[in-house]
Amino acid sequence: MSGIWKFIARRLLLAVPVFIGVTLVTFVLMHIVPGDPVALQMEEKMATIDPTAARLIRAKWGLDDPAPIQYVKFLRNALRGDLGISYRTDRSVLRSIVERVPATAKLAGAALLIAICIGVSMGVVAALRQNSALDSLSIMLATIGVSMPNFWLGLLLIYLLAVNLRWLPPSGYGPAYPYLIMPAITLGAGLSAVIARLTRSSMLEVIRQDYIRTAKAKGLAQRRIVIRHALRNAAIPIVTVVGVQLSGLLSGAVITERVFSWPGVGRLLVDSIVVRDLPMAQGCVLFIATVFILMNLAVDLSYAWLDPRVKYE
Amino acid sequence: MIGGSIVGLLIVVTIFASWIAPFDPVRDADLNNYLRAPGDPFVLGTDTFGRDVFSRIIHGTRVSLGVGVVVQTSALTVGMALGLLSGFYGGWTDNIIMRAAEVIFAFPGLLFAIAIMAVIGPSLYNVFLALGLVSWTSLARVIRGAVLSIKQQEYIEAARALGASNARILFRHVLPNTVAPAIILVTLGIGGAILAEASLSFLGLGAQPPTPSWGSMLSTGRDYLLQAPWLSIYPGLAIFLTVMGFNLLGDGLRDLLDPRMQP
Repeated sequence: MSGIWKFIARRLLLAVPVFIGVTLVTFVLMHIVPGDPVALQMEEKMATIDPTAARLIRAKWGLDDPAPIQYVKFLRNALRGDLGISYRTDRSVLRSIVERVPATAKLAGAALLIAICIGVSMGVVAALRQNSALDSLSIMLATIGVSMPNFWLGLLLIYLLAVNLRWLPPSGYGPAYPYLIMPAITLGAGLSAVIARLTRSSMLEVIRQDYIRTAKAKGLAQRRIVIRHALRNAAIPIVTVVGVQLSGLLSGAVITERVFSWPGVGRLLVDSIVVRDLPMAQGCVLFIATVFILMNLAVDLSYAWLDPRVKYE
Repeated sequence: MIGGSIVGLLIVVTIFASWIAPFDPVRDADLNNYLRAPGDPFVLGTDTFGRDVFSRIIHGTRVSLGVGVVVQTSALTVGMALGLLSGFYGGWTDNIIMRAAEVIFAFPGLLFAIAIMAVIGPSLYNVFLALGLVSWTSLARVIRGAVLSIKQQEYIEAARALGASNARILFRHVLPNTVAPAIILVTLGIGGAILAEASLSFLGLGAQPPTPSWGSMLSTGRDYLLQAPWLSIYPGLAIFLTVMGFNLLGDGLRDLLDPRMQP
């Protein structure tokens, strides 16, 4: 098997036990809730608990099985795409999540694009103009960016751009312009600050290398040196950190969706926790964690493209 | 230095909050002062219960710093212990500890804490527990990495040759050399824990009313952005300055103690 396929196979195999661990933790978390969930739901919906009906519902949901059997059934069903039925809406949990995925994907994608464009540009400029006013400004903005709570930034943007200037709507879901701009900036700002800092330090290391000096001596244009030679080599640690920061992006999406009433998976998760809809909360947690595992896998696989030496580890 | 000054000021405010705050953050509620704009005597305005925002921000320092310190103390204790054991003994110990850390890492940052809050219910004390359960992983991994390289040093080999027990080598020789990265991570981690608590409170999963938490103040402020923007601006500024203070202090400590850890 060639190097690249061995590399991919190894990474996929490593993801499997992590996924199983995630399903186990999610199952345990949602099943150590005190009290009988059936009785709780019946009490809420009907104000009385009919023992016979409760017994039938418990059997229907598989809650009378021993915990290990419940876990195996849960895992088997999850692999088949069945995440259970919402206590609140009686609808399929997976269907409810899937309906919300496009909104979260749009938000996270736009935020990542903004973060990479702004962060890499700022970092490259700061590195090429080290110790200049631009460099100092870039470092200051990056420090502010990593410290600023994203929900505060979102509220400030709403106050300035929606309430005062009335350029953009304060909340809601619709076409990218005008609805996605503020949420994407809110979510992407923190990550852009991290990327800027890392790009700067990574570029500073790379531009001192001999091959960059050789490229300059050969008379190559500055832009070609930066993009073809420097940035590609500086990208590896940046990709590593972006991979780690993706967790912050997904967590940040939960909060950003609340600020802007964006109907994504994150908002569904928080709403389901508030009303104690445990199958929905469980499904959302499992879904987001699975997406995160797959995103990390994609980041790992991108190393092989960026640095061919990685294939032969 | 800037970071140290901000953190120093926060510590002073936390200790002397009751003397600095002009009003009680919970009991001094008067609906006649509903959503008053900043002015005399309410320097930063009032909220929907007529409570002084400045006093609530001052007392909120205790909540935020308390969470930051308690969470990072537990992260330090658990993370340091597990990191030392994992790195020093290796084998099954290392495997079990690192796989547990990986499973927690597999959950996006705050998500695990949110999932735990879903189970145990929203409250400030549950925030300590939830954040404490997830905060040890980074520290354990870094300490493990440091121990792996320290283990190879000649002075460790010399100590072993002189008959030192594993426990003695661990506590006398390995542990002191892991203090620098631990201090840096804990300092940076306090800022992260404060931000996490504010985020959980903003979502309604953290400190419950009437406890003065900056995150829950912002959550209320969101609904009154048009009429009372001060409810959103000032608590958010407090979170921002606090987190920046700890980040700058952590960066400074890193430059001083371990420049290799620079981003």
